[in-house]
Amino acid sequence: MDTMELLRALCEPEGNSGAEDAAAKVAAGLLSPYGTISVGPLGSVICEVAPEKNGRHVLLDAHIDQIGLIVTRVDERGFARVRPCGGIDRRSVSGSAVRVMTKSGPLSGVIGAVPPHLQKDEKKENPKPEDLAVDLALSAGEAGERVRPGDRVILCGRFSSIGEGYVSSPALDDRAGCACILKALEALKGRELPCGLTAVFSTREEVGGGGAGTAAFAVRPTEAIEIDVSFGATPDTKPGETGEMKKGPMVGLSPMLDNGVCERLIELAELRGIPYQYEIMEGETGTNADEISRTGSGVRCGMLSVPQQYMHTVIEKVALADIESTAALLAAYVLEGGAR
Amino acid sequence: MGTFLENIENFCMIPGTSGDESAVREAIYKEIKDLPGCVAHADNAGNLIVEKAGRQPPKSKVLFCAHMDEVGFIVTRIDEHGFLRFGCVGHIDSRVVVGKRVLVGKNRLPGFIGAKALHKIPKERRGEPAEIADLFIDIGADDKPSAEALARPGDRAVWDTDFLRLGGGKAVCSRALDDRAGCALLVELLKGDAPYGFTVAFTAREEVGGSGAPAAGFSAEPDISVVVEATSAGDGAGVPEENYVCAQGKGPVVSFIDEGTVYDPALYETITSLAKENGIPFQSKEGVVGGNDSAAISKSRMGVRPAAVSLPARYIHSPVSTVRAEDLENTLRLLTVLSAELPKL
Repeated sequence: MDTMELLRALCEPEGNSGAEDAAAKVAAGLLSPYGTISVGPLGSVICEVAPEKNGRHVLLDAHIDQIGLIVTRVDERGFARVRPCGGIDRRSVSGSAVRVMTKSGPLSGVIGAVPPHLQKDEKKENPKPEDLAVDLALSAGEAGERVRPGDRVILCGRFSSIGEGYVSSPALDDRAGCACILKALEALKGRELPCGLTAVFSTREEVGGGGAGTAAFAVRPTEAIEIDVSFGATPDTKPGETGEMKKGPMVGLSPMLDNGVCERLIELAELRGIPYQYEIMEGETGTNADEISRTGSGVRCGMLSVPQQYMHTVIEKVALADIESTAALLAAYVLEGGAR
Repeated sequence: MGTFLENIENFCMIPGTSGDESAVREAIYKEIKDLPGCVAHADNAGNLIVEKAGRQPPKSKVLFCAHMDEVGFIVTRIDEHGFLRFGCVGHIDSRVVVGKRVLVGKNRLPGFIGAKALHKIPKERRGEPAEIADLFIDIGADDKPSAEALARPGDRAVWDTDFLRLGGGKAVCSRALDDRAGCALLVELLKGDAPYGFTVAFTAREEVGGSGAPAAGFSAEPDISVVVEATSAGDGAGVPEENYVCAQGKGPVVSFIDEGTVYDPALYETITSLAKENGIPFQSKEGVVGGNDSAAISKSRMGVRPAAVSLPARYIHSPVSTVRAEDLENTLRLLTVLSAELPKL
């Protein structure tokens, strides 16, 4: 499938952390041509492409969940009071259209903003998580009938292409990673693999994890590569602080990651002429690589990040070229049998 | 010809920041040009002035007024990375700017208002609203020359939002309801049969205090002006009732004072009495906040008696302002009464 269409298919269904069903179902459908699908107790989609071979089994993981909000109560005036479910950007949430995913279907609402005319001279601050509310234009009674605590709220955005080879969607973190894995599996289809291979689309990454570690426990890989998005450069970031757009996957180097896996990724990128850049972290990676590496008796982990601008907003943006080069590097890694 | 709700949606979807209202003006002109008794012209200030003939000449000449412009953004420069740097046209809080989609320029080029990732800002500073000067519009260009081929300083931008119906049609949600909803109300007023003649001005540049209203007030020579605005309803979530100023679902908002105008007390009495007589719910604007074209119009020529009848709108000057269908309907009812009664004064 064309990268753009693949991303569209992955990004359009909703999947707030812990409520990933719609997104996971689509992702499972996309994975099914490549292996045997199973779903873990926490909802992670596991696709076994090839069983362990030559004592090696590579796991590729990307998370399927996306950030959003969760209803805590319907107040006496009919507003749905909500809290973040994942790390939303406090600067961007006011003045947003949302969809409350109720039992009887999605309900449109807005997160309002006090207009400048009504602001007092108080010090301006971004909204606090406890102050967030959704205006549904319903009375308390009507809202109470439709909405219940625990309903998820999705920040509305649009899947779109923009400019010279970029795409945007609120769900690119981490459907972009899922797309990289699917593109890699497509490239590997019909090839003799020197190692076992399983792909996992894991749940709950944005709320402290669980989906990836438990799936890794079930798979028992000898090594794993985590594919997530990381910070793409904006004009006010310092060199080295973020990745450059269209310069290929960011290869993670961190005390948490396995040097052998990381070195092999770099070596193969050089050998195959695949663009890459570094992402240096001093400790935890803040991705599923951290929990996968601690699974069972330990898993050697590497990490590739797709540079993404505007993290955790509805305009998350990646370059198609970076998805394609990340997929190419993943495919090369598996074809070469993983780390030495 | 569009219905009332269709017109609100159509007018809201047209980008038209202050000083750049021509597309809105054309859309309104298309709606009113064939209405009975309507003669329209655009003036040098960019206003669309419509004379509505009545069955009788009015005793007092009444001017109804709604502004066509909306708040938005203006490109100030293109930076070395190909990002568009911008300023705000009208009052916009930076807290409704970050991470929003926009349409740039005449060709409605899609863009995003970007910022440094929140994660890259020190924790103790994440509560601080972004500074507009630190934000930029990303049009997906890789460098300055590519961006320059698509946009230029002076280009306007507006939020790219969908027109939504909330609560099963109880409310509509869009950018620019301030004051395209007012424009649509006055188009409805012009559709009716008028016992007395009156004038309608669709004004330019209200959000920047520009030349629209002064010019309209001068050329229409009214005795009475009724400004039809989308005014700030402060009844959002968690706001104590004393801070509402006005609330949705309580009918049109009749003003006696705001930050720009002290309204004519006798007119205020007349309007509220007419509302009561006709069983139309209304509310007073309970707070001295905001302002509108009345300030300029009341100072025209030898002076004009000002009145304001507004729609209670939540979250104005944001991408998701809302108005209630029942408030639209009751405001239209009151305006219809006023168009028949005020010319008799």
